[in-house]
Amino acid sequence: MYKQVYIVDDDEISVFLTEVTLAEEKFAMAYQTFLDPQQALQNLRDSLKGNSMEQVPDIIFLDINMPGMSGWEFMEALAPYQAHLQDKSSIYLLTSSIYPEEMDRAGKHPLLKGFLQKPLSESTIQQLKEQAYQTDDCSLA
Amino acid sequence: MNLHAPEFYHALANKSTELVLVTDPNGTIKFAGQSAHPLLGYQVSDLLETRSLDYIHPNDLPLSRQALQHVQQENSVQLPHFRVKKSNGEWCWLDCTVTNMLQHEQVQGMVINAKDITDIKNSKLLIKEQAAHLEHIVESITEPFFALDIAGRYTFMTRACAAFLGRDREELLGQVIWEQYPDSIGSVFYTRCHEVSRTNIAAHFEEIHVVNGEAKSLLISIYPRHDGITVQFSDNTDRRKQLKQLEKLSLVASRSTNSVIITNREARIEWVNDGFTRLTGYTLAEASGKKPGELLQKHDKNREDKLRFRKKLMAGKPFSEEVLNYKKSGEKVWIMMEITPVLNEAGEIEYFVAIQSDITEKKETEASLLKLTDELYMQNRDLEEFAYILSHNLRAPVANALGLAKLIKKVDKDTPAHAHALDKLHHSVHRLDDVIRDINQLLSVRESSRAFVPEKILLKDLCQEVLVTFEEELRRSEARVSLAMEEHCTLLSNRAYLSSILQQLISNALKYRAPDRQLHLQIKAENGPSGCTITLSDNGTGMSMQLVQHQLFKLYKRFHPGISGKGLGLFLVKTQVEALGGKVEIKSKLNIGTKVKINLSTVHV
Repeated sequence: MYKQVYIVDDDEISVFLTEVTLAEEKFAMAYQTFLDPQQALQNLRDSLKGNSMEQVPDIIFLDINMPGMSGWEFMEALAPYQAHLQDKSSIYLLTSSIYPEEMDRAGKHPLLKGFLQKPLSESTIQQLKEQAYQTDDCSLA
Repeated sequence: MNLHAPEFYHALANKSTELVLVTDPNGTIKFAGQSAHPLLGYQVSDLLETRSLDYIHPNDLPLSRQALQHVQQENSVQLPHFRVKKSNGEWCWLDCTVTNMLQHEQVQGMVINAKDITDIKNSKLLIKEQAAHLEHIVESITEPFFALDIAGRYTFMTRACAAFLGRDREELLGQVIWEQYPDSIGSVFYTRCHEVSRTNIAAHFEEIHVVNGEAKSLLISIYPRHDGITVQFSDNTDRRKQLKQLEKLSLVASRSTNSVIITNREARIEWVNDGFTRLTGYTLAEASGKKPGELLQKHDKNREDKLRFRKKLMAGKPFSEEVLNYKKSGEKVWIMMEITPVLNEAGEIEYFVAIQSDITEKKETEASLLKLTDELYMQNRDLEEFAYILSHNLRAPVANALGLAKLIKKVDKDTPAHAHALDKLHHSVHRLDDVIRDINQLLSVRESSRAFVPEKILLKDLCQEVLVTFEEELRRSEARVSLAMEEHCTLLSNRAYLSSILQQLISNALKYRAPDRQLHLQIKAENGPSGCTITLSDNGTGMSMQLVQHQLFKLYKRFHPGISGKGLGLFLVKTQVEALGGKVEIKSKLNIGTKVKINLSTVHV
């Protein structure tokens, strides 16, 4: 089970759905939701620098189409922390987009683990959980 | 008077203003008249018993000696002019006669009479020098000229002139021109020569004369003098020949639609063909002496273009250029100019030959193609935007609805969670409907923009109409609105669009007002040279232009996380302004305010 999960999305219904689905699957111990991507970025930076008590999240679900800052801009802002983030957090785009160009772009991004489509399905969640166990195994060995 | 008294002659010799000396056969001075003192500065006593030849300048001595040998008995000899030394060391020129009177029983000596001619000698020298100087000046002029007296006799001629005529200068001087060149009688030159000496007014003309057996085209100038006339001329034959050749050349093209211009090296028109007149409406007489640019271009050509064009001309290589010209009638015409410089043997530019063809039709086709490309590009861009909208904005509520539907199946029907999910599902479907309506609205703006009938709109009335719909909200927020526009500022435009644009912008100003200060919205309208400009400025929250400038007008782009909005407004404003043939521009500063400027071109005024 993951310890900490961020959900970054301005669409409240979508956030509600993601939270409910993840909770049902007992995906993580704690979920933190950000309707404002700037706020998520601030929290993430603080925890990376050790400025706060909060843990760096294991998983970040990131929407693309948000006011003020798009998912892509969010990723650009994270670029300076790439080395830090790479083994601590897995970032997934969680979007309603079915735009092929964006899928391609996500595949090429070094920090992005995947491109997930809304609504989040149980099978997707299962796959993500399996990955978590695999990393756990590795750390035990 | 006693002619026989010796005192008479003595006095005569002594008082004469001329120098009178008498020497013995060896040249020793035996008598000197008293004028020796005023003339040469010597006392008479100083001169006696001295040798007369000792006073003569060494350079003049040989000639004087030679002359003296010829002094025969009882004979007088005029000596060549010579210099003698005065008592103060200066030299003085003398004109001297020696008379042999050795056999004369009373005199028994050589009698010398001399006059001081220094002043005459010097002034002659000066005149000679000045004449030589003048001749140098005159001869330095390569253009031939000569002078005639009133009777038509040559009084002066430059070497260049003699060389050109192929005659000996000395032979011609003093001869009457009309006898030397009888063929010229009756020519323009002949007539003008007489006219100039009669009227004292200079004449300039060109005429063909046979010189040295060759026909030459001469540019002749005749200037009056008090004692005759001066004629200056230059050979224009080569230039004439070239022009003739060029005329022949352009004759080939004169029947075609092409227009041909021949200019001199300063790019001033010397000749144009009929094609030029057909194309531009200007005749040769009207165009002659002018630069093609002065004639055919208005002031709309900028300096840089002119400089660039000049540089090309001066390069001395053929080039072509497309230019916008104006006919005499004011009509615009696009011209393709092919310019060929004609160089002389020294490689300098002599003429320019420009062949012009009318490419207006081609230009218009190009322009319409460009417009078509532009439209296609816009449509393509719109399509891409639509693909994005479909994948994000249309699919977002669908994705939500799908998720909720799945959730509802799992949740117990009678729990609050069920009702909650159902409520959200309802909301999602509504949003889906909204997006579909938005898309429909946008599509309809684009469709109808292709053909709308403009109507006359009183801008102030329209603004007030729109403001009325915000009355309640304006009152509640205690906003201040000021209208600054002329009472009769009228636009020929689409009322529905203009109203929708104002509605959207006023709504934005209200929505994004700063929470800590009273909203002040200013709506201004001005009629300028580039059309009507409507400006809406507020003191609201504003935006950081650096962050938003590339996305401001994009569909479904939003910049204020705390405030509801779909990101449709400005996109719609832009679409509608563009449909009206206008431009919209936004300037904003975070926490200061926003200024929206809409420019509608004059066509709509």
